[in-house]
Amino acid sequence: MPDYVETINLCRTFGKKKELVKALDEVSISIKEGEIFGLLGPNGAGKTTLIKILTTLLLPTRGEAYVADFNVVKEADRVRKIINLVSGGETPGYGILSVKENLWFFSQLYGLPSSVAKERSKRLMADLDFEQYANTRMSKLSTGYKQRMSLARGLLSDPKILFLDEPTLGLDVLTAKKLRNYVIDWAKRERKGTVLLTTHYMIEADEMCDRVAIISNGKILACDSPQVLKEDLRRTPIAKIEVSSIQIDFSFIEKVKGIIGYSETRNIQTGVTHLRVMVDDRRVFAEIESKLTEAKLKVLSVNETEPTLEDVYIRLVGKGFEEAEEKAHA
Amino acid sequence: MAVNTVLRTVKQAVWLGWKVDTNWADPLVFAIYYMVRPLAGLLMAGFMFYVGSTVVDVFSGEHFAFLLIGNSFFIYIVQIVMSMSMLIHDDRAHYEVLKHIYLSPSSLTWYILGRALNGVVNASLSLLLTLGFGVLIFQGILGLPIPINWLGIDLPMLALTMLLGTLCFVSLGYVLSGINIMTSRVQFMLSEYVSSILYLFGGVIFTPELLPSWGQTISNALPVTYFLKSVRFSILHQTGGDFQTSLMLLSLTTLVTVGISVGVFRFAMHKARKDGLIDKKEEY
Ligand SMILES: Nc1ncnc2c1ncn2[C@@H]1O[C@H](COP(=O)(O)OP(=O)(O)OP(=O)(O)O)[C@@H](O)[C@H]1O
Ligand SMILES: [Mg+2]
Repeated sequence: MPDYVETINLCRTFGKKKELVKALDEVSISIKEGEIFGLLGPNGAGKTTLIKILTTLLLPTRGEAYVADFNVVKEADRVRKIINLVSGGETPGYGILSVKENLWFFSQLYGLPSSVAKERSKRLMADLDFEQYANTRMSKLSTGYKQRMSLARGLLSDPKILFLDEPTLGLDVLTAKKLRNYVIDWAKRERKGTVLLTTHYMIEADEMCDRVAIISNGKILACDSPQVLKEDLRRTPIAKIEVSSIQIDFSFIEKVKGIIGYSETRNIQTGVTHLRVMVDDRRVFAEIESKLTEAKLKVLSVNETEPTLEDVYIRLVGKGFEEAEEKAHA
Repeated sequence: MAVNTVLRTVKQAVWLGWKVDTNWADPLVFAIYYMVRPLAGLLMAGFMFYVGSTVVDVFSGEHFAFLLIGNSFFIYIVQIVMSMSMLIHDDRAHYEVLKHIYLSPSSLTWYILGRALNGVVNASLSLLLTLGFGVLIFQGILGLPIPINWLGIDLPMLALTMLLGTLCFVSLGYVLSGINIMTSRVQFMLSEYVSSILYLFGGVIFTPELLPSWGQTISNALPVTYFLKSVRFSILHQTGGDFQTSLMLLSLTTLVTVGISVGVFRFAMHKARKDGLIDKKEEY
């Protein structure tokens, strides 16, 4: 199968010399037809920037990008006919129009014959369970239903390539799952469409994507199927450690010899912090535990666990997503 | 771009504009925007003139007609320019749909034209209402003599003037749209400034000959001056220069405006893609 979306040494910088931000730094990826490809990375990694370039909203500073063999810079018109974009957490249309009217408007921007437009919006509304809101003003919809409508809008033009920029941002678990499954169905069974998805939810990348590229600071650090990426970590011991404090700065454990990386999730309700620690030798876990106890912390449990995509990220960067984001904001 | 794609885009934009305007939840805003505001402007100017001139006892019906026509047709201009100036901001920051229109196969340029045509229809409505109510109030109720022979209007000339003027002010709207794409949150200021300049120097309520010489120079460069002159020629048959010259100068300044608008808008679109401004969020 031919490569469907391809970038070659794509670079994009923002700002002037002193405060130059390299949003994309020599990014080369290729996505095959029919593939669901994920871009996984923390805030500010460059995910949206890549999507903007591929959807003709932004020009690259250097490098090339192709969508279905069309050059996104020079053949934007051809690209626009076969793509669509759905972004999470955005208004999906004119608040003052009804859901149905909005879908109609967008269908006409793509020149759908009116019977096709009507039939397709009806089906999408039914499939995504919001036909009861067809005549409701868009602004009255809740976040979850707005996002359903967003996805419907994106699929209405029956794109060959669908770009999804954090499509489940801020959604409840059930709605997120519904939308994910619908996209998988659309891509795999119904349409054989190609999907480029950005996310910073691990499960989303894991569940949906045939291949995942891990991106940080504008650079692609790794790219493969979730299985292969995790497989590479099989021999690296990883443990979940529960500590009964959410106040403390855990960075002191970095100093323990043999630690490869860690991430932390603080649960404010239970007052428990979940540490995920990756080490080069099992014996290091005991060392960490004693360091925590020395710091007068109560260690509730230490359990070895299977690698996830986040561990792949920790392995590459030495930190979990949240820590990387905190650092980026500091 | 294929002709039918263009037509479809324009048609859809007109439909959208209509939907937005007649949005049932806001009939009050609609009324204020298209009726009360323009009418208030006219009444204010009209009464000031009326009171002022009766005090010094020099009321002239001719002059009053000059003011009535100037004000009403100026509202037509402002309405077009204003609505086009708001468009980019509304679609980009408020509704967040600009990028979806941009990345569809329809072009933003034609979409804006459709919304502008919608603005033209609304502006025509405002114009007729203002003129109608103006005559009703000042002539019908207050009994002022307004020497307009409504049957004697030179319709072909008026039509030609309106056509040129509309082309010109829609182009000006494109200039403002372009500037709005490249900036954020200046849409109110921008359209206020532009319409104030046009109001002051375009001969709306007094002839530009009353301006100081530098003001006259500005006035001579503005298409609005020739637009209003030509309108007055065709309705009031007022003299003070000849009709042909006025129409020619209107055509010329319109041509220049169209040229500028094509340049500015193209530059804006290029810059928008270069800097990623199409989906720019507003910073507060
Ligand atoms: N228009 C812009 N002007 C200046 N800097 C920008 C602009 N757009 C993006 N950046 C910068 O480029 C970098 C990458 O941003 P981008 O939005 O692509 O990240 P992201 O991976 O999508 O992050 P998030 O998960 O927060 O959406 C960031 O450092 C960001 O501040
Ligand atoms: Mg992003």
